[in-house]
Parts: sequence; C-alpha cells; structure tokens
Amino acid sequence: MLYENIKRGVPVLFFLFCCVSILFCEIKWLKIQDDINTSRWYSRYASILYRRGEDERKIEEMLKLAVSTEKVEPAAYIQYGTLCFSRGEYKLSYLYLKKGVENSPTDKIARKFLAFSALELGKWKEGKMHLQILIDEFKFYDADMFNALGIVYSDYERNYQKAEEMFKKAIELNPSFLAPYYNLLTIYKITSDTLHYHEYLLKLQNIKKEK
Amino acid sequence: MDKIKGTLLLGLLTLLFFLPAFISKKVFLPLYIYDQGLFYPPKKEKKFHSIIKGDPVLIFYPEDTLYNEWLKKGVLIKWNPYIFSGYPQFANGQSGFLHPIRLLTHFLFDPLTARMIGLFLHLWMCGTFMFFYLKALNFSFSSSLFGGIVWMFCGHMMTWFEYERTVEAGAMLPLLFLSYENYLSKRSYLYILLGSVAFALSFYSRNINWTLYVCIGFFTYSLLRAMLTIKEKKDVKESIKIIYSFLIISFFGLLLASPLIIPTLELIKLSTNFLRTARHFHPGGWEGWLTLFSTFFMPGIIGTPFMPTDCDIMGSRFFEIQGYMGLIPLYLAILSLFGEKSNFIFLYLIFSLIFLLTALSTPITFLFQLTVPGFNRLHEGRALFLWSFGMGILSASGMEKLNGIDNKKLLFSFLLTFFAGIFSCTITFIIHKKCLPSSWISLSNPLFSLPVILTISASITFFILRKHTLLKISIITFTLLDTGFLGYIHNLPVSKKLADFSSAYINVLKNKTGLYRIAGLEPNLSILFKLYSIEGYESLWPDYYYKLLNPTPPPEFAHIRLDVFSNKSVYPLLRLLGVKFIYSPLKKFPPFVPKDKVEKIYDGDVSIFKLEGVLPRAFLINRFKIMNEEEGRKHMLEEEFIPEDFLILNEPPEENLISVQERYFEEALIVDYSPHRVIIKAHAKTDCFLVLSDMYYPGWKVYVDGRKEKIYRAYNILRAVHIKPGYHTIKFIYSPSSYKIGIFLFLSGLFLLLILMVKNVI
Repeated sequence: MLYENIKRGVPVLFFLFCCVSILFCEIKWLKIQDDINTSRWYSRYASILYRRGEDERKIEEMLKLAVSTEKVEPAAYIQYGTLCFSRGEYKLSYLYLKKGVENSPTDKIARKFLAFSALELGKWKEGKMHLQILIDEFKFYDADMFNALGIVYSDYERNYQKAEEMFKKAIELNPSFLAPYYNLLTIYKITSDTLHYHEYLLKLQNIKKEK
Repeated sequence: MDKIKGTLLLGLLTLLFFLPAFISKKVFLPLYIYDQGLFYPPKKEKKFHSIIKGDPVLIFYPEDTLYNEWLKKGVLIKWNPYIFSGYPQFANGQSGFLHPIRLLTHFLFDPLTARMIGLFLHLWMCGTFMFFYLKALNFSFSSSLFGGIVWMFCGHMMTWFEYERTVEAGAMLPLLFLSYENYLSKRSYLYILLGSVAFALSFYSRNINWTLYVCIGFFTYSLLRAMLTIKEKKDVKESIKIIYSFLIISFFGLLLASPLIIPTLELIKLSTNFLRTARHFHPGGWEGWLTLFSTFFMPGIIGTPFMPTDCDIMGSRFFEIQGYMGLIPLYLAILSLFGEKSNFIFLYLIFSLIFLLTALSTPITFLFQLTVPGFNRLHEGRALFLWSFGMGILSASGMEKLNGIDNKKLLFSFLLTFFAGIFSCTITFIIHKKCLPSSWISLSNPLFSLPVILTISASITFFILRKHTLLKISIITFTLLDTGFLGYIHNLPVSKKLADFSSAYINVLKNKTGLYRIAGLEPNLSILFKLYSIEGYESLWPDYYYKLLNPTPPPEFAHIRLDVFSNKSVYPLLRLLGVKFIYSPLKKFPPFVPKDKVEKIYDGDVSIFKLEGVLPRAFLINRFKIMNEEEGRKHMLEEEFIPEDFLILNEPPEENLISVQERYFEEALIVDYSPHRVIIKAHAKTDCFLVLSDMYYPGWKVYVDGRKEKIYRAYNILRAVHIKPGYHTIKFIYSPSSYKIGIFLFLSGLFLLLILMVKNVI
C-alpha cells in the first residue's frame, strides 16, 4: 500500500520539483535583468549628460549609481573606469575597467585603459598582457599603446631591442607624437648608440619646430 | 463542446498573460524608448527592453494617435500632414487602418486601450485558430490545445508581439489553412469567403513583410499538398483542384484587400529607391548557421538584448530572428518524425525546412527573391515565422504520438535532439568564446541554467511521467513556463504615464510654430505634438522627396534625417519648406545655417533655434523656369539657391505663359488646414502661380474658385497651381482615385463571392 502510494506520489513530486526549479531560475533572471536595466538607465543618462557637455559632478553621480547595482551593465563599469583614469585615480579605474573587460571582453578602449591603469599601478605583466591581446588578437594599433609597450620592454624587461621596435612603431603610427622620441633617445643613451641618438634628436627638434 | 472548451482555455491563458498589465493599468508598448532617443530628460521608469523595438513607438503609436483622433470625427485618415511635408499615410502598406478590429476599437477607445484590446484579441485568435485547424486535422483535444499554445507563445510571436503585425498575421495564417482544408473537404463557398477574409486580413495587418510570408506560406502549403496527392493517390485531377482552390482563395483575398493594395502599389511605384535588394541577415557561413541552430535550444546563448554580450550583431539581432519555440515542443517536433510514417508530417517537415533555409540566406532565399515581387526588400530572417508555424504543428503531432511510440524510438529521438543541442551549443560557445563574459558558462547565469533545467524537466516528463495522468499537464505547464516567460520578459508592460509628453520645450514649439515646420525632432514624434516636420520614418516614400532632402543617404537605412548639422546646402531648403524651428537635443548650434539667420529661443534640457527669412507655407510667385527633376535638384542643392527668385516647374504650364522679368512674390493666406483639405485665399496682382509647400502626390485635386485646375509639381516636391490676377479661393482636396478603385474592387469581390455562395446553397 505504502509502496503504491509512493509510486503514485513520486511523479507528482518530480513535476513539482521541476516547476519550482524553473520558477526559481526565472525569478533570478528577472532580478538580474532588473539590475542591468537600472544600471543601463543611469549609464545612458550619464552619456547624454557627457555629450551635452554638462558638469562632471553630475555625470559622476549618475555613473556611481550605475555601478552600484548588484548586476551592472558592462558599459557603466567602462564609463566610470575611464572617468577615474582621466582624473588620475588609477586604483579605481583599474578596478572598474577590469570588471568592464571581464563582462565585455571585446571592448578595445576599455582594455586599453585597463592596460594603462595596470601599468600606472606597477602591474607590468598584466598591462603587457592586455596590450598584447589588443595588438595580436584584436589587431588594434594605436601609437599610445605601442609607446606603453615600449616602456614595459625598456623599464621592466630591459629588452632594449624590442623597446626600440615598439617606439618606432608608435612613431610610424603617429609621427607627431613626441613621447616615443624621448623614450627612444633614452634607450640610445643607455645603449650608447650615438648615431641613432643624433638622428632622432634631429627629428624631434624638427617636429617641435613644426608644432 | 471541445471547441468551446479549447477557446475558453486559450482565452484564459491570454488573460493570464495580460493580467499584470490589466491590473496595473499598463500597456504593451515600449514607451521607454523615447528616453533612449535623447529626446526628453529620462523619466523615472527605468525599464528597458530591446532597442530593436523602436518602430512601435516611433511609427505605429504616433500614427495611431492621428488615426484615432480622426476616426472619432468620422474620417478615415489617408494623408498625414505632420511628416515628410505631407505623406500618404494610408498607402504605406503598414498602416492597417482598414483592419476591422482596429477600426472598431479605435473608434470606441483611446489609442492605448485600442492597442491593448487588439493585441489581446489577436493573441487569443492565434491560439484558437491553430487549435481549430489541428482539430480539423483530427488531432486530439490536448494535442490541439498544445499546438495552439506553442503557436501563440512561440519565440517569434513573442519577440515581435509589441509590433502588433506578427500576432495579426499569425492569427490569420491558421484560419486561412483551416478554411482551405475545409473547402477541399466540403466544397462550400462559405470557406472560400472565410479563407479570402483571412487572406485579406493578413494584408490589413501592420506589415507587408509578414503578409508576404502568409502568401508564400499558403502557396508552398498548397503546392506541397498537391505534390503529395499525386504521390499518394496518383490523382492529377485532385491535385489540380488543390491548386485551383488556392488560386480562387488568393484571388478573392486580393480583391478584398484591394483598398489597401492599390494605394500601396501607387506609392511603391514612386518609391523605387526603397525597392533595391537588401540583405539583412548574414549568418556568416557555417558558424552563423550553427549559432542560429543553437538558439533553438538555448535562446540566450550569445546574449539577449536585455543581457547583452560583446557578440556584436550576433548578440542583439539573433533575438530578432527568433526561431525558438520552447524546448519541450522542439523535442516533440523531432519525436513526430519517428514512429508511424505520415504524409502530413512529411509535408510539414518540408514546409518548416524550406522556411528555415529561407531565413538562412540560402539559394532558396534567392529563388524567392527572383520570383516573388517585393521579397528582395524583406528581412529574410523573419521567414522563421513560417518555420515556427510548421514546427508548432509538428510538436502537436509529436504529443499525439507520445503515448503510442515505443521506448526505443522515444529514447533515440530524445537523445538525438539532446546531443544535437549539446553539439551546436558547445561549438557556438567555442566560436564566440572571445566575446562572451568570463562568467557566462555558469549555473548562476540563468540564460544558461534555464535551458538545462528545462531539459531535465523534459526528460522527467518523457520517461517518468509518460504513462502518468500528469503527462499532458506537465508538457503544457513546462511549455508555458518556458515560452510564456520568454514572452513576459520581452514584453514588460509599461506605465501609460510615459506617453505623457508635456514639457516646457514642446510647449515652446507648440505655441510658436503655427503652420510653420520644424526639423531635428525624432522622426514621426512630430505627429504626437501636431508639429509639422520635414522629416519622417517610413518604409516607403517618393524618390523625388528622398533624393532632394537626403542627397547622400545611408545605403540601407530607409529613414530620413535631414541633417541640419552636417548638410552644407540645407539652409535654402529649410527656407523653402517653411522650417522655422530647429530642435537640438544635444544643444548643438546648426553650423551650416548663417549665424545672423538663427536665434536661440530656448535653452534647457534641449536647445531650440529659430530661423529667420523662412518662406510662408503658401505664396504667390510669377517668375518660373522649367527644369526636369535632375536639373531642378542640382539647382536647389546649391548653397546660393534662392527659392523666391523663380519657381522651378518640372513641366511646361498648359497655358502659354511667359516668365516675366519683374519679380512678384507675396504670401497667401491659409484659412483652413486639415489633413485632407487646404483652403487658401489669395490676391494675385498678376498672372502667377500659387505654391503650397506640401508634398506633391497623386490624389490631390485643386479647385480655384470652385473650378478644377491642374496641379503642377513645383521645386520637384511641392504643389503649385496657376492663378490669374484678382481675389481667389483655392481649395486643395485629397481624394485618391487609387483608394476608390480599391473600394470598387473590394465590393465587386464581395458581391461575386455572395453570388457564388447563394448559388452554392441553391
């Protein structure tokens, strides 16, 4: 009798179990979606304010709200991270941009600023990794990035040949960008390459004159 | 009795779906999108759905407000004066103004209530007509009910729900097939009438896209049916009868839809710019195919518009071309292919596959593009509408077979579907790994865990509950929890308060514009404020207007945005069209308009600029030059173009007029301006032309002091009439003959059908 009752009741239990599991999962879905929606709303409002040229404090206020929900729209992390970077708050920019890149792995600008933030905080290896991903996987070429990568090679790895290569690439991409010239000059000074030193010193002076 | 029970049950389910909206007095209309268009300061409701849902609020809702207002005055609106400097709204192929349910509900209620009632009735009809169709095919009550539920809540229907058109066409498709089957078996003209009405109503639904899919689906179905009859019975005569029945229903359907088709054809003829072939969906080779295939198992596999990933177009657009129909229905549809062989299942398998391949931009797509007029402009991915219909029927068939099939076949079909899902989803994860968040494949991610739980539920249903009384209940419950939830998250009802647009700057515009026009406002929203705009957002509009106002158009975007901030030659055109105000949500100063001609009159959340030296909406001018359209356009796109110097006529005037040297230019007084009628009083001091700066379009007639005169195309896009010296009353009336021809054909078709029915009864 008991066995019969159990036999009859088990399918009902299975059915109820499935219903409850599905509903549980769907409630969670709704909660996440609601969080993302709220975060997205603040993040878009911040974009509107930025495009209108409004006060930075107002934009920051919106972005703080955007990153304060449990589940955050990736764009909000990236916006807030870049805002912090522009202010020189590298710890914060590193934190938010890292979350932004985790959630939005193909965002090149976010990864670039994450790399720069990491370098500013002395996380050389991580900064280099992000720059390499941008160049090798995303084929994203930017003078700033090559210059930064050059600094990693020269200051951290002491690989002056590679560093020279990177600085030259940065100059190739943007010949009026002064930083890689100075960096090259420093390398040539260290390696006592007087010929190249004078060549690039001349180039630098010419560019300065043009400017 | 079964039919009543099924209808009531499906009605109850529809009510359940609408209940949250009804209780909170909300509406299924993504009004929050206004907040994304930089139009207003964002409102407090922080709900976003998909950004692909712009059209219901940017096109349909503004259209509805105008339609509703004039319908209550007893006028069926055909001309919209608020966009494109005047636009044949009725003829755009997606107005749906003649749909009987829309006519009745908009006559009785406000636009938002009418919309909700329309959606409710059509969703109900989707399920009910599918249920009737399956019953007519001798399916059991529960399988027919299940088929109805799958069709009404399938992913495609739910993704496009707020567009109205999918549920409207979706309700008519099973009714059309039902009438067709009934006519084939009972040979009564009543079913021809019913089928023709269903066919015509699919035209009156809100989009040519889905209408054409209904036509193609109907044609394919009848062709497959005829071929199977030859194969099965070797009876050619019978198969000819099948094709004949298709032709007769289509013929009468087209006649009944003529009041919409004829004016639309007229506009299409003038809008060749929009007829070029467009490829919307590029699945990107086998990876794309596999990704689409995996969304049939896991709809959010590479993100949804609400929980997006970085998978670029794949992420957001894949949801638009939705082919998900619920996991359990998919298992059952595959199961239907096993066990007892049936021609009917074979027919629907071929039917579904044809439209799956159509959606995937395969040679079948190009075959349709070559043979079906207008198909080249359609979004081929939306052919999944017909795939979902076919699979809905197969899933009902699978449910029918579930009890009879042996364990081995059940296990085999289940494992086949399961591994197909695992395989495609795994490969999709690998392909898109680079753009997916690091925490994506995790049970804490509901996009991932929900399909897993649903698969477990399916296996419990098929193998543990198979012989249990709970079997059918569990299949229906799990399906509702699956697709109903998908429908719910896609269509969160929104507060009606978001439709309240009163704001300081709109009031500034409203109080100052009068009959003058504006530019810079999000296209078509001008209808809501009764502001006359030169811009608009429609799928069809005449080439002459498009080419002049949009000389460097974006290649695939059928939406005009006369960019006053980047178009160097814009100022003379703004003057000619009477654009007195420029609305700038980003508060940018219009750079190509002379600084001394612009004054900022409002500076708040947005900026509003007032233009000086704008021409009146109606004026008299005596000097003219005859130029063809191309020459005229070239002249008008020059920065130095001065419209009041001379009138550009695109054809020589009928009377032997000479363009004199001495310039005469004077404003004329518009005394009455309504959508279908403009009355102007003018005092001409010399032989001249009266120009009304409204779009030139066939169907407008002009009467000078009660006498009919010829309308000339002036400045390529406007209307002009020749008048002699003296006081005159000029009346422009919009009375399109295309619409009258359509009504005549409609009445003839109806009359002929009634005669045939009476003859049939006698």
